[in-house]
Amino acid sequence: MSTDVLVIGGGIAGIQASLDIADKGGKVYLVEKTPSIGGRMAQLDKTFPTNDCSICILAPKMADCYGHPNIDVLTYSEVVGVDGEAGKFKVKVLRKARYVDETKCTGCEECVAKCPQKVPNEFDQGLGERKVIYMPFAQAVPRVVTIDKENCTWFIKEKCGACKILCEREAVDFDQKDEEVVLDVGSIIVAIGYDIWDPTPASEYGYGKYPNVFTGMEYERMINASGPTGGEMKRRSDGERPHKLAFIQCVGSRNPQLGHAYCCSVCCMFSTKEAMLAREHHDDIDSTIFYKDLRAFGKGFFEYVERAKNDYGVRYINSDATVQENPENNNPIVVYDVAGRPEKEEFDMVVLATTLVPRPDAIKIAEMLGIPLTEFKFFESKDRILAPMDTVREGVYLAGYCREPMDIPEAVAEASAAAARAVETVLAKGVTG
Amino acid sequence: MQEAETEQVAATDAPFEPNIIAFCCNWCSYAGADLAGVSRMQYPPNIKIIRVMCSGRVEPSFIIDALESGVDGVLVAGCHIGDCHYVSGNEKAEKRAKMVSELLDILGVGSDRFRLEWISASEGSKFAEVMNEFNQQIAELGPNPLKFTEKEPPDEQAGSAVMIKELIQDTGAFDCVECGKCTSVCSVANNDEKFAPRLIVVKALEGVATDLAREKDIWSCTTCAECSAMCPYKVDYAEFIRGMRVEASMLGVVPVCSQGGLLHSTMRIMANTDFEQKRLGWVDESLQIADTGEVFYFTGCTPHLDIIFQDRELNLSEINRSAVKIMNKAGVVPVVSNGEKCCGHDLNWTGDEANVENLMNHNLDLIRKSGAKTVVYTCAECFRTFNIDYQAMAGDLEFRMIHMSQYIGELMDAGKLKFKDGLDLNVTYHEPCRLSRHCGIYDAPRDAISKINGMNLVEMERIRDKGACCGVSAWMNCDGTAKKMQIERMVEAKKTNSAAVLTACPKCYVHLDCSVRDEIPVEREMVEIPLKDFTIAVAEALED
Repeated sequence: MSTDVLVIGGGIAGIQASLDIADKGGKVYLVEKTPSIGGRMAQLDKTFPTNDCSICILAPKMADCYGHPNIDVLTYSEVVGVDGEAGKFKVKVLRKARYVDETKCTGCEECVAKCPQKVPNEFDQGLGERKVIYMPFAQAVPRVVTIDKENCTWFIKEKCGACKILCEREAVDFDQKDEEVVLDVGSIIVAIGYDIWDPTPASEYGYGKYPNVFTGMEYERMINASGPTGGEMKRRSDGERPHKLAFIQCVGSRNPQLGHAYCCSVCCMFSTKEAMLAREHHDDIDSTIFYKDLRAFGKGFFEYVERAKNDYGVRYINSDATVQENPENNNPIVVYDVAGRPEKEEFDMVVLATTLVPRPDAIKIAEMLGIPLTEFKFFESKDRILAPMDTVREGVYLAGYCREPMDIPEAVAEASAAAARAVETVLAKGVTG
Repeated sequence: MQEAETEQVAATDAPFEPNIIAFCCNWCSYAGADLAGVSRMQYPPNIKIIRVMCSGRVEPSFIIDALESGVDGVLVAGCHIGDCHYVSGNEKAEKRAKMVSELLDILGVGSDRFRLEWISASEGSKFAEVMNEFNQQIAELGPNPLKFTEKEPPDEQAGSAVMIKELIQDTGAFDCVECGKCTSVCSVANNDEKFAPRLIVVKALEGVATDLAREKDIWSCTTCAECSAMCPYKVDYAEFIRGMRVEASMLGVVPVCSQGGLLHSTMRIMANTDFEQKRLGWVDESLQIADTGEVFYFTGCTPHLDIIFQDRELNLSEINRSAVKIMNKAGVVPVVSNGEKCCGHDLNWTGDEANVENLMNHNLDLIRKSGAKTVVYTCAECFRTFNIDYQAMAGDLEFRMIHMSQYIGELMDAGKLKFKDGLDLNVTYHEPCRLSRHCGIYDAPRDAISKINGMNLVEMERIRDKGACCGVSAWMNCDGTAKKMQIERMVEAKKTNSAAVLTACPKCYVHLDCSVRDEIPVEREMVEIPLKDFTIAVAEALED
């Protein structure tokens, strides 16, 4: 019997669940696939409806989590097998070699400065570049660098090795091997979050074809002060700052034709936020939001939209839209519907509120845990109304966007709920078993 | 013409007195008739004269329509060549008469029920003579075998809220969230400043039903389904429009068709008669065809179109020849039948379901008798009509239906087709809506093109589910808007710098070809790219 809890996914939901359990005195293993915890929230510039700086409110939690005596954070690791039952799960975790000794690295990043190889930075949605030995982002936790084996010349042709030569702490270890560890846990919380849908297949929006069409997350990174452009909005075609922005909502969501019939539940609000932020950056920017239905349903959300309209001059147009391009200046032209008639308007930049989709890993994890997925590949609750955090498998709980579309506060609330359920299970099993 | 029709019905046991209509030009032949009259020359009283300002005014559809309505013979009389008061009206009439005669022959009605004569104002005796002769000729031919069916009285229930509700349900229009994405991609709405496609559905949803069936907008849609391809909720707008047109035609609403409805008349004639047709004029000795066999080649209406558009020298029958040539090269001898009739596509999309059913029964019977297991189509419209409409009416069909592009792919994969060496040709491909969005076939023609050595596909800007429309469907929306759409498409094709733009539907070919014939609003060089049918292009690439 184990009273420990495994949390899969180190985003805001996973962090919150871990902290809740750890604060109560429970032992937690937090397994995160990427080199740093933080997840999607770390990528966002601000959060609605308060316009708080996202990383500013998240970073303390990340640090708390990593430093917590009751939490064992396993970054760059993946769950590869689950056996047993509630109270006595045996979980196999693959600790991928990061070729840097976590205990020795101080995160000084001198190696990063010297590394000659650059690749697109996934954290910045490919807008900027990172080195092959890299810190995922400025506030990454743990503050340890990682070597991207796929692109490192040392692993490709045994050349370079600059980082190893340079590191005074001798933390770089090219001989590190992937390692499998087995954890004994009493219950499991799945909080693997979401992926951002690539809108290229919906070619009517012109993403990938017209340079000045961006996704919402690209825009978030661009307006972030620590982002690839240092907070400057730049058109892909000429690097100029846009003056007229269009935000198109429901790109891929509420679209059974594309396989996502669900409402992503955040794009009305994040587009509003992004339009407000544009005006905060430069007060000569005019934004227009094209929406199917304005689903500003949360507490204070409607007022937030009203604020955007009244204080930030954001224009709302009730229509979905498609995008064309003015070949002369690469300006996107948005075609939309006004009382059944097509209207065209030229903008400097278009931002697509792409839908958020379950991670492809969800299928593998569901299989491993023996829990079902919904038709859209979100994890299925035992009962959507009365037992939303539970799964059909005792001892396995869900939290956050991997369960169903939701915003950050909801994900945090779910994380706490799932933590409570997980603790109930281990306590019950611990006492009776 | 209405009077003529009712009189004809009255004739029963009495000796047959033909009912003849003579279109006479105001300046010569009508005056000739006058002279015959004042000169007391005798000619049969059952010839009804309709005065027209010029024989050139008589459109082929007038003649076919008269015959379709049960008139036994039609005569067109005008000034002698060189005497036309409008210089060349009679020359036009002569060309049209040739076309009408050929069309009547191919349909099996027979051109001897139609006659063109030049009668001047001074030729009163000639007028009487011609009338007597023509009357005699028609009397010998006997009554017009075209069954004249009384038009059904308008059904006032049509287009009612109940019926529309059913249509809304069947086409998923209930799911419309009014997002307007359909509007933003609609080629018609983008070129016609009055057309608001989404509002048609909104009106239906709001219950403005009977008015809707009488609205012009339901006929403006090209049913290209670009909207449905974009619609997040897959509302089947094309089917919705078709359903509305059925309702409208039950209300007695008649759409404005190109060629004065000539094409629809020929289809109705086919649907209601059992004449011995003459549609295999295109088959030459080099081609092997059979009466029974595994593969049935459904040729479509290309021979009729060749006749109707003979001044444009389209030579659409070459598509048929090419298709048979390809099959023969692969060792297949297809069944090609003179008994084939129009698939009924254009009637179906103008709301005439009863005649589509007639045509369907005939065609299915024909195919079943041939023993074919596979039916091949070179026309995207025939393909769609069999696949979707026939199966909706008659249930699942027991034979396989494939488009020529798919069949070519199969023959290539089986290694049965050999292509020329040293071909170096860039082509672009124009998507027929019936094949692509309606039936989901996007890749077959592309794959076939790319598998031919030395033939490269260069894609246009708007392709696949966003492929632009050729502007006209069911011979109905040929107007300024269509022209704009077509020119846009041709400009797009030209931009690819390809040697040719291929289409897999003869109708796309006809419409796109038409758009660049006369004056165009852009520089001529911007649209100068040869059009070619996909099947012909493949046949040309075959090894000799």
